[in-house]
Amino acid sequence: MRFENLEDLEHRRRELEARRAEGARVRICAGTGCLAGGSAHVKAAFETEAARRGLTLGVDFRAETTGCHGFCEEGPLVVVEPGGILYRRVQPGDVAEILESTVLGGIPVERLLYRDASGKVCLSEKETPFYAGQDRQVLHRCGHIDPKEIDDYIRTGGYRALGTALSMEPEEVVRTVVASGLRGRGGGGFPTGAKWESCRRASGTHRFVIANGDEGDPGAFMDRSLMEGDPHSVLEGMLIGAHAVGARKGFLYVRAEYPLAVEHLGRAIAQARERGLLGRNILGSGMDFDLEICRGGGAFVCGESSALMASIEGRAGEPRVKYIRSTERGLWNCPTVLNNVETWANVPLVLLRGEKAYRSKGTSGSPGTKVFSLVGKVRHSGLVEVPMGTSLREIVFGLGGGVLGRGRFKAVQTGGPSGGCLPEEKLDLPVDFDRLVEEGSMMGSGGMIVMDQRTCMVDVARYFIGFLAEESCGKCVPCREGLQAILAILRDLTEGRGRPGDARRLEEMGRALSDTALCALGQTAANPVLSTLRFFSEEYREHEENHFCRAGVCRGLYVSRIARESCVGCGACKRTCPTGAISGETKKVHSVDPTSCIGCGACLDTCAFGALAAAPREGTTR
Amino acid sequence: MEKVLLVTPERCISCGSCELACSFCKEGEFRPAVSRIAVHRFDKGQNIPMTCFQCEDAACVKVCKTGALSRNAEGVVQVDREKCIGCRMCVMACPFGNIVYHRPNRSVLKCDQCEGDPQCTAFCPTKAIEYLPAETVNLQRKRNFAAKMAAALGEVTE
Amino acid sequence: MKTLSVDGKTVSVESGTMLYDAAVLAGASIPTLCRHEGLPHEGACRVCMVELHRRGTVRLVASCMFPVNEEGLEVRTDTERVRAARNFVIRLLLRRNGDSAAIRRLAAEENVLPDGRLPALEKELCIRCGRCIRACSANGTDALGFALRGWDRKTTPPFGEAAATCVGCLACAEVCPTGHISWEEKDGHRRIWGRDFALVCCEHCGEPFATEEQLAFLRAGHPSDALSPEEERFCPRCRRIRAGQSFTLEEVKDR
Repeated sequence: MRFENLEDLEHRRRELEARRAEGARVRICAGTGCLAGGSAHVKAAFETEAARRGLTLGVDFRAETTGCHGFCEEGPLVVVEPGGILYRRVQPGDVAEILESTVLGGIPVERLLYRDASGKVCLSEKETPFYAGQDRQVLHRCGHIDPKEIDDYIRTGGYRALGTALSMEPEEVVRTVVASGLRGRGGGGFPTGAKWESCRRASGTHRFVIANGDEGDPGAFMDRSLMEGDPHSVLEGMLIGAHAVGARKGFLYVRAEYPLAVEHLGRAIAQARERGLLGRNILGSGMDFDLEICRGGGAFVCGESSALMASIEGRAGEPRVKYIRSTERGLWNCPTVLNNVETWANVPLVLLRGEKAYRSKGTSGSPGTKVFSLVGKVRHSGLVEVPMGTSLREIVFGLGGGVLGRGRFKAVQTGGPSGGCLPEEKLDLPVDFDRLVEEGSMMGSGGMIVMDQRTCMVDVARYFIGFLAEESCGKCVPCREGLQAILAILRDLTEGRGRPGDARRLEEMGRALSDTALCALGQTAANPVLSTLRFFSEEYREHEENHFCRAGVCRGLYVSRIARESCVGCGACKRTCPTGAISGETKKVHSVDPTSCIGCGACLDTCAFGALAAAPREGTTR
Repeated sequence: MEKVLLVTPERCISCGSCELACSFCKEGEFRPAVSRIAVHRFDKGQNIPMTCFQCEDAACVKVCKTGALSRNAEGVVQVDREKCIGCRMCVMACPFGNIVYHRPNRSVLKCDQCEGDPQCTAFCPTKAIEYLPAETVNLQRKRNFAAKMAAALGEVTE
Repeated sequence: MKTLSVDGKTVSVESGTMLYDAAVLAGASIPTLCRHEGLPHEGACRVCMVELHRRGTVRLVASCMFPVNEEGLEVRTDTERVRAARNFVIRLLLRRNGDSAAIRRLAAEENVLPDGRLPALEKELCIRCGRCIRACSANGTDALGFALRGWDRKTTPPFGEAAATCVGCLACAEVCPTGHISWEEKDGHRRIWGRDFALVCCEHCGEPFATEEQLAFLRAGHPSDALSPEEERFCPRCRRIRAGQSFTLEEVKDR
């Protein structure tokens, strides 16, 4: 069924709204995380169990699969409606009880409810700290609609923003986006409106819009969840952008490692075409536009705009020197607007609510909200959306629930491999585009990795530089050769071959690399080193001068030592030690023989009382 | 004003001054091997200095992909040594063998009329090589020459 | 025309001129490696970085690829920051390509010493500047490309096999700044990139002068570029002699 005009769309929306039965239903998270946890089986179990109880599916009871709910740590997640009762870690075996007690009986199953840090039972999402502190704008449909159904999107107001945009002149749309202050969510934070404006003004007969869904940062999954959970919002944003800049063709560049995102986007495009929301004469406005999915082969560098465009053009995904902006000469040398998928998903919000309302959230320099993926040594791994300007502390400790286990907070890495690590004293920084850059990190696309005191910052730098060296395309000398040189020194430091002056050399090389590399990947590649040097220089000094790793990570650069006052003599460490270096009688203070200790760290992770710590090896202090 | 190098073979005494002058002017050494002009000495005392004809529809310019060979305002085909990538396509394409590749320079050698002051002419003792305005008369001779050449070698310019 | 200042000197250049050319015009000397006048620029070696002052910001840019499209750019080619950047790049090249005379010469010119702190590497000549690839592509033969990525990146014909489109013209070897690309010629054969080419010998003097593929490439390229079958049989030198000969004979006959 094709919508010929706006009235058709609105009519359909009202029809869907009216038809929607209020009956009992469950929302089952079918994001990648929960699917891996078995949520597909949970859904099947709901259907079988419901049928067994004589409930007519779709009428008496509905088991709906949705996109990512965000609380990935506790998946698979099931929310029972009405009431919004949140169950976590649901397995198919729990389904009968949920149906019986909650859906039919209205009584919560307490063992499946979430308990916060104090042990308090949280009944619904609203009561759960992880959700309570969020402001889900971009993600407002994620977890609530079936991403495979365009009707769900339309029913919840989808494509209304497109209608608004089509009733405006393109220039007016651009002006609105400029006024909203929307900035690119992919990391750079470039003003979206300015980009559109520049593309509109550029000369050329063809124009393109591209969505960058090549999310490659380790530990980041904001864009994946969005593409999986609410694909139409990205499409709608692109349609509005295409109207604004005058593009007739758009590309969604999605990494092939996101099969579910590709599937959902593909379905969304097909359904949108069926409804006449893509193709010729969209909603009777005279606008022609179509979208195509390009699957990326998984190279990190293809997230860089010029490499991404090269990849779409069918060439090797390598960056080009671009002293001329891609808004003037981009894809096939035509004016091109490339935005991150989250940026595109923000566009309908701007149009629907107007720039003033959009600006009411976030900070003056960085309006709106931002989605972060919170991972690492944090209690609540998952996806959160908060207004820009929220402090790191609020995100890590408020929403994230603080450090996992008995660990002590040490650093949070923001902005992916090219970002930086910020220490405890920077936790009160408001998170926005500009403030994190001032501190030598960046907000990036929104990945946040929490680290505790068992994380060695030199080792972290080594890991990320290793990642970037692996992902360097090798086109320019500084990135190809320089990252290897930096990596060689970092390896030396973590393997006990550090030399005095290494930290200084790293800093020099890092700065030179930032100055000389060809693309943004190379220019920011030294950030893991530079930012850890900035805030954790003491650890570098210990590695370089004393060959000591205080975190107990770098093998052989420490021995375990037991603090007498904390040891309860449980013997756990003794049993774990592979070399028999730990001795002691039960319930008496144990001790480590430093000559037999190989510094493997097994005991450090075992002790539940925090009695074990890394200490320098004898004779290594210069 | 366009000028041409006019060769009158019957005046050539095969002294080789033009080759020495050219190589010295262009490469700083007296070595006919790097001269852009070469005197060919045949039996029966016939000698002819051969150098680039600056063909109107030059095959060398057409095959050059990097713009290393181009025609200047005076109608002279010039070499931009910096732009030459050493593919030798022009060498293969010239029907007269008047362009040669010189490895040490990584570039081709061809006559550029010394930017309007050809040294071969200056040093030719018998006026076998002259540098004259391309007036009608001279052009006529040039055309005659080209026609003869074409006849002798078979069709090359089509 | 746009006016800019290079190390304090003012020059005017056509809009779109690259900073490098403008700087050279102003008398500055900037080292380059991947740049070749006859090929599209790539900006890959990063040796030609200069400091650009523009609208209140200062940054380093690759001068070979930055177009002068506006008035009032200010360029410095010899500041401490530029030297640090250049030295960093040259030192990295010395580490892997220190056997190359071109790299050693560049290092000597810029007073850069090898980095003694870093573990030594097995030396190779290829600096991955891509000049050979661009030359081959400009020629229209497209027989070379980069394979693999990052540290492992290398120049190679497709799949490391003898390339079907290679005509053995040697342009790749000629534009290589470090002499990495080798080839040999013996017994009437030319061998390059693992492919053997039989050489065509001059019918007159017997000297081998071209590969069959080269002549075929010319023939196929442009009908009017092709030599007559007659001319094709002679080397350029003998062509010249023949041309001269026929000319003198004609002249003599004419009289």
